[in-house]
Amino acid sequence: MRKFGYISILIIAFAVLQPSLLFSLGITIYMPDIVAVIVAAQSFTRSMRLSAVIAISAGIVVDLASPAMGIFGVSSISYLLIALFVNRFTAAPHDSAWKPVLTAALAPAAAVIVRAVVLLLTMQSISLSQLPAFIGWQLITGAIFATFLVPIIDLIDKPLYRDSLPLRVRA
Amino acid sequence: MRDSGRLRLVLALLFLVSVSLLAIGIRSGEAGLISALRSSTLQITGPVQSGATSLGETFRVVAENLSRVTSRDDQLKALQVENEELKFKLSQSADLRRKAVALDQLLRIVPPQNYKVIPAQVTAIGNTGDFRWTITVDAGSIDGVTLNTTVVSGTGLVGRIVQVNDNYSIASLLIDPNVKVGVRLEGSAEIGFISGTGVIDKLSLQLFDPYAKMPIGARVISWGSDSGKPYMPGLAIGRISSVEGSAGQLNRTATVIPSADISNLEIVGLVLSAKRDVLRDPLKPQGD
Repeated sequence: MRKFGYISILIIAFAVLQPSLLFSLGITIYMPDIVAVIVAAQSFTRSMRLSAVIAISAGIVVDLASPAMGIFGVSSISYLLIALFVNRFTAAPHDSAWKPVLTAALAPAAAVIVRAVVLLLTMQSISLSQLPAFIGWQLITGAIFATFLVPIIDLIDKPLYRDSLPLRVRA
Repeated sequence: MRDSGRLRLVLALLFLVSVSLLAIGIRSGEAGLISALRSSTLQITGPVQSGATSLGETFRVVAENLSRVTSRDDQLKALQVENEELKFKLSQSADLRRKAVALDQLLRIVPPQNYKVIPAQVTAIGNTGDFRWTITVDAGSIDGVTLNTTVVSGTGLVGRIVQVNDNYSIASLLIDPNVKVGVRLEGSAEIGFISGTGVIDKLSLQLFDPYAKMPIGARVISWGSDSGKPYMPGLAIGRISSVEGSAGQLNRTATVIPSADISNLEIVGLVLSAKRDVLRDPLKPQGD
C-alpha cells in the first residue's frame, strides 16, 4: 500500500487540478499532462506489473475527470505504453540524475502522440493541425513539472525502496 | 523462466483490460455508463476546479503586484508600498470591473428582456488529453441548465452544453473538430455549416450552394435549431478571413476567425430560453 498510496493521491490531485492550473494563472489554455509525468516517474523503480496497474488506473481517472469528453480508455492505453517503455528501457538505477528527468519530461508529449495514433486507428476524428501546438506545449510543461516532480517522487521513494528496489540514481 | 512467463501473461491481461476500456469508451460515446460516471465525477471535481481557478486568479493578481514592487527604487520604497497597496486594491476592483464589462457585453448580445440567460465562470479547460475542446462552467441543473444549452460570450457563440451536473456543466467549444454548426452568411443569408478545426483562432465554413459568394469579412451567424437548442439563431460566430477553392467546387471552404476569443474565456452566458418571436430575429451585437 505504501508503495503506491501516495502516487495514487498525486495522480488524483493532478488529474483534477491540471485542467485549471495554467488556465487560471493566465499562462496558457493548453492543459498540461502532469499525470503522464507522474506515471513515468513512478515507473523507474516499481515493478513492471505495478507500474502498468498504476498507469491504467491513472488513465481511467484522467478520462473521467472533467472536462474530459473524448473517448474513454484512450489515456489508459497511452499511459500503459509509457509505463512499459520507461520500465523496460530506463528503469533505475540511472547513471545520471538527468536521465529520469528527461524521460519523464518527454512523457506528456509521448502521451499526445500515442493518443493521436490510437484515435486515428479507431477511426475517431482528430485535427492533425493541432498536434504541433499540443506537442510543443507538452514538451515545455513536461520539462517544468518533471524537474520538480521527479526529485520529489525520488525523495519519497527512497525510504520505501531502501532494501527492495534500486535507487533511481546510482550511488 | 516461470516468472517471466507469468509477467507476460499479466501484462497481456492488463493490455486487454485497457483495450476493453477503449472499446467501452467507443461504444458508449457521449451517453450511457461513461456519461453517468463522468457526471458523478463532475460533482466532485467541479468544486475543486472552481476553488483552484479562484486561487490561481488570486496568485496572478499578487504576482503582478509583486513584480511591480520589486522593480522600484529603494528611496521611494515607503511611498511605493503605500502606492502598491492602493494599486493592489485597484487591480482587485479592476478584476471585478473586467467581469462587469464581460457581463455587460453578454447582456448586449442576449438582451434579458428577450432571453433568459445566466452568467457562469469558466473553471477548467480541456483539450490535449482527448483532442476535444471543452470547458467546465460553474452552473448546473440547479440553475436551470440542460443538455444542449447555448453558451455565449460577450462577442459571440462559444459552444453548447454536453454534460450537466447539479452545480457544474461541461460545454463543447465551437473549435472542437467534432463540432458542426448550421450557419448562414449575414446579408446574403446563404446557408451552410461551420466545423471546428481544433485551432483556437480558426473555423472552417462550407456553404450548401457551391456557387454562393463568400466575401472576405462577411459575418457568419448561427442558423439556429428547434427551440433554440443546441444553438440559438442569429448569434455571431465569426468573419470570413480567406476562401480556398473557386465557385462551383464542391469542396470549397472558407476560413472563419471566431468572434469569441477562446483563449480569454472567463465569464460566459448560458442561454436558458428565449421568447418564441425572438428566435426569428437575428441578433445584432453592438461593437462587432
